[in-house]
Amino acid sequence: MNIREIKGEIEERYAKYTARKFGILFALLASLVILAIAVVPLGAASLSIGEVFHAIFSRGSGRADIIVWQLRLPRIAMAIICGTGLALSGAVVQGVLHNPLASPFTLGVSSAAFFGGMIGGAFGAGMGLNVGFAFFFGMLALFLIYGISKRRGMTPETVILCGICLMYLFLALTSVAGMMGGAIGMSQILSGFLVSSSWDSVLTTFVFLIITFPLLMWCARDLNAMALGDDTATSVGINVKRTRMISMVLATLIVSSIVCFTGVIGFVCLISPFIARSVMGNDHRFIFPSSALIGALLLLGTDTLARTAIQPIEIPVGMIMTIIGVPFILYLAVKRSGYT
Amino acid sequence: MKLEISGVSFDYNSRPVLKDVNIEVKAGEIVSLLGPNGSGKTTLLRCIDGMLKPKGGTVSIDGRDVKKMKQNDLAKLLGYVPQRAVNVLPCSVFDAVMIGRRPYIGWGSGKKDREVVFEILKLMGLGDMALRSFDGISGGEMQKVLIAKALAQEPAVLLLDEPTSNLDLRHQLEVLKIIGEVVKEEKVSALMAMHDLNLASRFSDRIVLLKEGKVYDVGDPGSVITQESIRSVYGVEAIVKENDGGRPHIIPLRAI
Amino acid sequence: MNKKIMGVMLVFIMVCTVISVFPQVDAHENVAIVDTMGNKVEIPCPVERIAVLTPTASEIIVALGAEDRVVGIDQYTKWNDEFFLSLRNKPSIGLPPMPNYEKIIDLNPQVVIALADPLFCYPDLEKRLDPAGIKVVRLNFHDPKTYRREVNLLGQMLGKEKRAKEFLNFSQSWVDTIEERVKDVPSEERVRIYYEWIVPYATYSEDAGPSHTTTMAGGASILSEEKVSYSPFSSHVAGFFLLTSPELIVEKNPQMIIKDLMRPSDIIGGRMAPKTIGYTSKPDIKRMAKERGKIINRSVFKEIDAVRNGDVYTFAPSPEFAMSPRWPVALGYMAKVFYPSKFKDLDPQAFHAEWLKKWYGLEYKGVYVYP
Repeated sequence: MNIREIKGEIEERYAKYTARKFGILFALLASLVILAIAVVPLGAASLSIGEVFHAIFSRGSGRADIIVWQLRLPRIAMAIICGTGLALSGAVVQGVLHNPLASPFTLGVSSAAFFGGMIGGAFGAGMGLNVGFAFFFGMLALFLIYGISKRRGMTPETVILCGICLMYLFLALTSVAGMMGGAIGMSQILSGFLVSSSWDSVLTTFVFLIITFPLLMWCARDLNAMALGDDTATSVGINVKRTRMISMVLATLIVSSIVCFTGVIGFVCLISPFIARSVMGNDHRFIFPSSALIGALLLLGTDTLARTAIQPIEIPVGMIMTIIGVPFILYLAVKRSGYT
Repeated sequence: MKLEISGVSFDYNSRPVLKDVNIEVKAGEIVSLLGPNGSGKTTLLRCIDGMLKPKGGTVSIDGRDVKKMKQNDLAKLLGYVPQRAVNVLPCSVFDAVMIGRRPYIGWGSGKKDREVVFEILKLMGLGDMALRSFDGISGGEMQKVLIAKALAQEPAVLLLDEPTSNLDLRHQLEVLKIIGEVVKEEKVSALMAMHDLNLASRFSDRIVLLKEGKVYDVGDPGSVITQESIRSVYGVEAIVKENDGGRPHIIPLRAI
Repeated sequence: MNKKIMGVMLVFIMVCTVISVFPQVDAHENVAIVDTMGNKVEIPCPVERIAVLTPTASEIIVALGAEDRVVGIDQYTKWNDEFFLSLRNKPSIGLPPMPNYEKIIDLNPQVVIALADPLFCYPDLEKRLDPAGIKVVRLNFHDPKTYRREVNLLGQMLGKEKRAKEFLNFSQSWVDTIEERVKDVPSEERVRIYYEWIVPYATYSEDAGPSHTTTMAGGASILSEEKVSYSPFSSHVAGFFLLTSPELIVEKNPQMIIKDLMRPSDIIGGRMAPKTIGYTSKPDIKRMAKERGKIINRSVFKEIDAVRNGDVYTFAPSPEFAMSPRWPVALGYMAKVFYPSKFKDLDPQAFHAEWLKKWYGLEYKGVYVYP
């Protein structure tokens, strides 16, 4: 075989390989759009499909308009944005720590951020301060974990164990703070909810997501190099520390902006990158968008269940996510142990 | 282009690790760094590629001071091959080699970058496994991928940190042969830290023997690898013979 | 734009342009009322379409005979269908802590009655329902301190002022009698009470209804002099339940213990297991005895007067007894156990039976207090 032939063959296979990835991305996007449209007519209110779509396009009569525009659409949008953001931040954290078990949820970053948001809320100075506090505590947790993971002899599993300890610490702190603040329905808040989604919350989280997403995509290629080790990454001209810092800050920012509105919705940020990785390989340029889309699909699906399964009773979406997530993690654990 | 190390010293926690090291590697030359554990081989490599900042002295490539270069520009001149790769989140072999193009491109990869990568994969005999996952290949192949990645940087200087330490006999020979070919063809200056004296002697143009952070001796293998230097540097009694290529070959006997 | 943020609740708005709809103008006269949270709410009067998010409100509406105005009920009311016979066919609007906004807007009430308790003070409720022109009025109907005002207010809202007066007068003389007789008991002679909520060692805070009832019946909560500051962050939110240290209880040595019983089946009305305590056709006095036994057998309580003298009483779930519109009945039982000699003539069960018959059209059944 001469050089030309081999080159042609590799090139052809590589093109196919890339085309397949873009195909999957497109399929995910298409199914998200379809799912989002499909769930709009579902809900406790007795609106027909016709009424719903009429309300969407013509902004007509009062009640249908409010139900669709003030309740269903912001909630669907919020599910998509939160799913996207959480799954994306999960993929980033996994990429930075080189740990497929990591996620803002299992590292305690989400609950730390939520605790921060609650402390911020106690001052009552508005959402900006809440997100700021959430961000501060989220970063605190993340840097603690990062420091731990850099110590010698830390396996990915030990790091996660430390993360879960942090998670419980902050959940406990939140419970205590909540109890002292005379807070309300702690169990619902702690397990995450999307009931109170409004256009405000959609807009705020969307702004954070739209700013951070392109920056994270810019980091994606460098994260690929860092997956081969810091030495390797440095030797190809990557400022490893800076890239790591930027991606961690951005991931925490996304999580903070979300938990302030929804509480801690776990598992979506762990499961989505995992699925993304298994279908996309480990190129972060593809993992980020695919994980984000999978997260959006997952959370939108779960939240639709949460609001319609036993309507008119609402189930906190976090509870359903946990019910789905835990068997998935157990399955993973069993499967992983089977390899070794 | 040549690599010049002049008067480099380095302290680790105020304990001197390197003391006034002077080495020169010419284009198309392979120089091996030998010395026992803790003699400063890896530290020296890291002072060269900028991972560590030397306390004194300069490292220059073709007369340009490495310290004053931007990280990205340095990456175009200097390729580094680590001892082993971390592969927790493995990508494909093709993508791993493509990482070497990072200094030249932004976020995506252009046609020229792909051409370069295909060329190198062919050269290294990795064509068949281009789309295999990085963790699904053997240690030897992994080492080749790391070298391929460094070559994709189209560097003038190649730093290798014990490139054969994790390899079986066959792969050791194969990898060193490839390095030799590349260095001669592309007129690259290669500096590699080595443990195996016989392999170093066979594949290097010159040898630098380090002892306690200082250069003990520099020169062609025949003049540096002697019974006496091995006793003094490694503390080992050895017989030095000559192999079929006229290079020294040692048979270690016992530690003193 | 009617986008006022009402009362003391915190509604965070960072970047917003909420699309609002003007409330529909209707033929009714609008009146402004102030609810138990202190919120000023403008509502049409009389209210023609009302939804309730608390069983206590359902009970008063039944008492006022205004079931025909109800368009939606909370799930707890729905589940308790043996008691709320006349409301059993009304659609549910979800659980009070997480109401289904869609369903509420779909049913289009003019007013939603929700609890004014901090545990259920969902700031979202107003925010969500406001665009649809639905007003939220927060009333409890379970606290002696605000009871009269709330019942009168609801009567006014529904145009049933006269019926509300009659309803209040029915229990007023009963309550007055009890208060009159314990009035002269000196504070150091008052019976020391430990009133335990469903969770072990959790008690009602001083601002909760059952604590007021205890005081009215001449009891002195063992924690009343402790002046527990419940909420360092938000002074306006009064706490509801307190976890108490068992050590403190032992030290204070209560003379009597009252224990609220509740398990899920008592709330969801026999869907998991039969409802056996409270208003039910399958009363289970043995369960109450068993629960009482559990308290008596708590080893830490061994030396407490209440346990030694057997003065431990189990009560039906507070949401339909001590913390319901029928708190005067619970008050009667309390008075009788606190001061048996003073209240020999008092018959709380007969009073309860009369109440149920007269105001709800129900036969007396179930079990409420043991022993």
